[in-house]
Amino acid sequence: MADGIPTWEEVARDYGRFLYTVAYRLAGNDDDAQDLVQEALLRVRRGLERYEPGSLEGWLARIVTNVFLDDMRRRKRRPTSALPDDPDRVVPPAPAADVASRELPAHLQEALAGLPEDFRVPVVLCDVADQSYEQIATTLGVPVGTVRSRIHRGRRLLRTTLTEGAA
Amino acid sequence: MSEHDLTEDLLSAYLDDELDAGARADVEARVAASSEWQAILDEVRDTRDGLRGLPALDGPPEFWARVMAGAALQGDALEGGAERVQVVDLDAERRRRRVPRWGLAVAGAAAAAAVVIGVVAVPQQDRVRPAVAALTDEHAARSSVGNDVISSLASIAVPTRLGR
Repeated sequence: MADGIPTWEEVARDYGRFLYTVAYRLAGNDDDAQDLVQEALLRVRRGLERYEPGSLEGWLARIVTNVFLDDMRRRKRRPTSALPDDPDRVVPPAPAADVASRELPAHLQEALAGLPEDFRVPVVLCDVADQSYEQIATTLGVPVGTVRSRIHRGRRLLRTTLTEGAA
Repeated sequence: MSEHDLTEDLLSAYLDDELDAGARADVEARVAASSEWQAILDEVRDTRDGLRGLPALDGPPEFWARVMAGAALQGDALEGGAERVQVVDLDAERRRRRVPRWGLAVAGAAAAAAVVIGVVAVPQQDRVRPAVAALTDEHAARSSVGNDVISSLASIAVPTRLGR
């Protein structure tokens, strides 16, 4: 890494899992996640020269989100049947996360993939990619107030879905 | 922020630490005064914690190998002249990876068709037609030469068709 700018190989090696996780939570399946990551890494390669040292994860989250939104617009299709996490893809969680994940309804991923994308994208960016509302607003090109509203409504919709699913 | 401005979506912003001190205090006061807001806050917190507890995921090893191999080719292309090395086309890769799905379906259909043709169109060989007459004649000729007494006694009339 020179001048705080990572090489492409470093990005792929050190942030590949982050990209894949965000992509999978956005897309809801492995095939589309792979496509998103490949395209995102291609854009990373093209854009590294213009990268200004800062939040690399924020930059990557923005890229993979844009790839996802471009893909949505182009293909006009979305997964209709969300799959649960593929056991082979799951990385053992950190101890702190393990407590929460054991208490999760098994179909949380399914419920997430079923959210309308207007809600799913900001929720994923906030809760999976750990982006601030301002970063999400910049990525999506909407006001912070819109991000706040969509995140809250998205979480409430998720809650409703999970509650109905459990009933 | 006045009480009038308080909207429910501030609860998520409150959890995410996205409020300034004044708004935060307003939300806390509202939650303390409203069991409904308290319930919503609890639900949203549970959902948020659940999402944040989802495990990290990783792509399959072959995927990363393909990505890195493609990157290496592209690197060579950038350094050695793009005309010398063909850059991996991601769209083509995507199509290639997805071919097996319909490819398998086509192959399966072809195999099924072959079976059907084999059963229906090809005449079944349900009869054995040995060249008994020729074999008998040949054996008779040999046995006569060799003075095989037993074979010479055999009947000349041999069925030439052993069908059912």
